[in-house]
Amino acid sequence: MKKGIVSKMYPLSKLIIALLLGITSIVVHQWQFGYFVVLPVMFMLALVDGKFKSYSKKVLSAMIIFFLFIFLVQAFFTPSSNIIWEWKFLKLSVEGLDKALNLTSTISVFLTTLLLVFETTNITDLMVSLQKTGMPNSAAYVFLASLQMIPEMSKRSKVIMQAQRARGIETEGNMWVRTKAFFPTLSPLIISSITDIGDKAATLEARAFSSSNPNSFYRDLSARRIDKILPWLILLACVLYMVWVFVPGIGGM
Amino acid sequence: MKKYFGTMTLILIPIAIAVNFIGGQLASILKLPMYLDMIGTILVAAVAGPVPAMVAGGVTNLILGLSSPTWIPYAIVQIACGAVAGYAAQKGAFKSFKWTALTSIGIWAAALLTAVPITTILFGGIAGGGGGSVITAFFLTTGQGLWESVASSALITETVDKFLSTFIVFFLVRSLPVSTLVKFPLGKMYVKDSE
Amino acid sequence: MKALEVKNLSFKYLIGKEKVFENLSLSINKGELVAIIGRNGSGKTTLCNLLRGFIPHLTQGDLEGDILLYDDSILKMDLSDLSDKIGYIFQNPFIQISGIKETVYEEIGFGLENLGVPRDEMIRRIEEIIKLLKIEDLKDKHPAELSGGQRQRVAIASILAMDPEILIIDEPTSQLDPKGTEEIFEIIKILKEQNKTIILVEHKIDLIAEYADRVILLNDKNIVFDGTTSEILSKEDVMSYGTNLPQIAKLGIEYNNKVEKLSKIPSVLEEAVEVFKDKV
Ligand SMILES: Nc1ncnc2c1ncn2[C@@H]1O[C@H](COP(=O)(O)OP(=O)(O)O)[C@@H](O)[C@H]1O
Ligand SMILES: [Mg+2]
Repeated sequence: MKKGIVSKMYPLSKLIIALLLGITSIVVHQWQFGYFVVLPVMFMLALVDGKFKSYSKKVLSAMIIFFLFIFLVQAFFTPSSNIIWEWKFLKLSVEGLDKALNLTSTISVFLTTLLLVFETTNITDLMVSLQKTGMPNSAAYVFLASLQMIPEMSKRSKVIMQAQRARGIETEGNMWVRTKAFFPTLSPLIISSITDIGDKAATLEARAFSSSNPNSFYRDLSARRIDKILPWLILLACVLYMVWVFVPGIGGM
Repeated sequence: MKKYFGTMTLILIPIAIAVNFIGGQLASILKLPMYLDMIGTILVAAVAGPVPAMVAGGVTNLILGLSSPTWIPYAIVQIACGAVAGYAAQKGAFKSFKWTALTSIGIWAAALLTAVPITTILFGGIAGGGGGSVITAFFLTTGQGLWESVASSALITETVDKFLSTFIVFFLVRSLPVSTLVKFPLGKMYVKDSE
Repeated sequence: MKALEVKNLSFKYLIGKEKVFENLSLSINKGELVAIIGRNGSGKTTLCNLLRGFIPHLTQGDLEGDILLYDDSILKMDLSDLSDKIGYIFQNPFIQISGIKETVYEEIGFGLENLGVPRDEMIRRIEEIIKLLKIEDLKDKHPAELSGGQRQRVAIASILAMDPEILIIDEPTSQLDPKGTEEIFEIIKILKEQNKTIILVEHKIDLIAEYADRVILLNDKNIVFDGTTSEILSKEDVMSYGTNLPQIAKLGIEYNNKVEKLSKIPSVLEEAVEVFKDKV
């Protein structure tokens, strides 16, 4: 499979760019930045990368209801004298709308950029790129082992729950009954997993896990020229944008 | 340096993170009005102390964040609870029923003191993960202010949740085989107790 | 030449009530395939763990005496620094994966990454091991999606990639079906041809009779028998220590006791043919 331009990028560079954009959106506090700049650009990048469908599904499902709630709460309940529209206890205010727009814009910057990074990056690659910049082995282990452990334990928990049901432990009914079903399902799973840790530790040590030698990597990952330059360019652009917003005489306020 | 914890503790952390996930998942399968997504973190705290517990808690939310980035700020809640539980565990809190109860209050307070500001300031009152926000909305319509509404909403869901989670850990520690338990930094504490 | 030497070893687990070993001494020569037998709980796994340094480095206890790897004390060495010297294969195939790799290929490379072996050399060694163990069909699979037998072979591959000269293999087939068992012993045969020093714990006594150079029987905190395979596996006493004898040896013993004296109790087929050929 051919990789798209975003997928091809060095993982660490992508992450840095995402964080730069996020920080910028907090600092400038202009809702247009999120809605008119970052959001469309991210969707376009997803399209170019061939990930539009799964990406937009993730973004929309993360945003729609969440943003709706924020708008409702902020727009109607922000104390203000500038009421545009009123019905019973609901008071729609200009300040409220403005606050909701700014808040959701910042959230959307983080959401859309990070989701694009995660959508287009293999997490093992991300870890390797972080390890190469000095992140300890053990940190990568915790992350990657968790990502494999979660689906595995989830599968096992479902098997146990089936078995519990077969043995007559109620998993439906009133809340007390359901709460009581929780412990016998979870505890055998936890206890057996923890009992295995001794042998797992030995397994890792048998593979030189705590060796004092510096690691080498099978994944041949290296930052291209563009991967090194792009974060700096974006940083420059962000700084210029902030200057334009904050320095009187040049830009806005 | 490649190692910050012993290998045993290091391997425990991903298991604990998975336990956090599965706990939350089971709670929703069983339709319990609780999160139960911190059992792993508290378990690490009980057998390995605060720092590994904070790591387990923090990474739990980073991983949640891979699919829903709005969970990431709530890592602070897990980290704070892990710190409180781990510190208490170091002092021997999980050895007695009474102190476990007090620890659960500490964890609950830590959760409230961190979750409420995050929800209110970062997300305008709507919990980043969705849970609890319907209750928040309900309190808002009764005429309370935003801070009070978020806090009251959190109070209800958090209280039972943290109490139950902490006691599940209390019993779990007692169900672990002694030969495994003694390999963890705080494990010996519970063995002497049972002899 | 002595590869491993145990000197006056006594050991008790931290939480154990009784000592597992009392004043045990043993030496293992380079290139030998030594089988360790004994009833459950006789300390076979404990001895293996001691020889690899997992005890006392990972599991603590009261230890007296010393364990030497070519004259250096294992007790004083770093656990991970031993990994390219002594390999260890566990009984349970399901816990023996790193849990962080996405393919068998990368799984085999895990130890090499930790040792800091340069990438080209790493790839060369991975390919070599895959060919040696004939696991080409597994190399792109996810390690967590393999069967027990496949996992055990991948575990062996991952250890062999680090090219240790000594291998400790603790009941590698106890959780495998006959086909899996056969595949593991195919590998053990290859390793023996490569002149590795192998310490093998195994219950399937016929396989021991076929492959081992030497047999050590553990019982009651110490070694009761230590000698060549044909010497030990023809002793009737062995059965009183809760271990079996090869069918052929049992036949020989019966014949010897009930029919007529044999020049020698056979333990493998060839010996039996030799002993019985002028009888019939
Ligand atoms: N981690 C441990 N802690 C305490 N006792 C142990 C531990 N592992 C094994 N034992 C005990 O040590 C003895 C020897 O066990 P083991 O070496 O596993 O025997 P084998 O492998 O021959 O079956 C047994 O009595 C067993 O119960
Ligand atoms: Mg054993």
